[in-house]
Amino acid sequence: MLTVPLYIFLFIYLLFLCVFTILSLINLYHIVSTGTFTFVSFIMTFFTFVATVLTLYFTWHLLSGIDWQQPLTLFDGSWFQ
Amino acid sequence: MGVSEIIRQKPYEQVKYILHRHALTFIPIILLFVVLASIPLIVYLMTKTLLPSIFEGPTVFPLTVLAASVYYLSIYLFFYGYFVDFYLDLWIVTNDRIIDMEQHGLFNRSITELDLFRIQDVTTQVKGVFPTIFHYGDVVVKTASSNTHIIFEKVPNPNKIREELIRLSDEDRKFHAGPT
Repeated sequence: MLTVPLYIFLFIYLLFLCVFTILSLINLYHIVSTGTFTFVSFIMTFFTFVATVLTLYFTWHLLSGIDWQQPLTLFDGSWFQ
Repeated sequence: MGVSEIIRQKPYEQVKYILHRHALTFIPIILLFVVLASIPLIVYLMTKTLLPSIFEGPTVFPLTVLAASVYYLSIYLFFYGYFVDFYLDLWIVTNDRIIDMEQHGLFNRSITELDLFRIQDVTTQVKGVFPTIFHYGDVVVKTASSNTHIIFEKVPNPNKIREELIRLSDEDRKFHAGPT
């Protein structure tokens, strides 16, 4: 039986958040460094930022009461018996 | 940082046009974003109706929330990345030269310059129903001396830009020929 604690997936999620932050900052850097930080690019950046904050807030809100120590069975031989 | 610093504007140089692609060409991406964003909601509502207890498991619920969060953040990143790719393709026309700045993906950017007095040929291409109705299309600028050419892709009012480029090119040619 292969079992992992649930917090492993939380760590993977946090790793994804790091990659997401880096790529978003690179995009923002491109806009600023090329002199194209105009009203249009500000609106798009603001929209993306607000959507990201709302998504993170709802993720945190929905997961606030979760017990991350509980095990998750990835594979069990009895499934095939 | 302003455009003047990016192009290292010369003292006598005036920026005449800063051109981006027509805003309408971004609408398919907005529609795609809306469709992609609505898929999890549709799947959730269908699953909730057909299998009401599936999200109540102690591990299924957090994993579903994490997966949905990753999905939404990924489409925001895709959308923002595509906007940057779209918006950073720009063409700057001054009274001395044309600067073509193109962004290809996140780590690939090309910049081409062309002196106005070298322009040999300017062509416009308006193809399709929407470009014809909303007046946008390509402007192809070619030089005589080399194979260098610049394409202003899907810019608004291509015919007006073509006329302006020819006029500016004539003026620049007179300037470079000197007083006779």
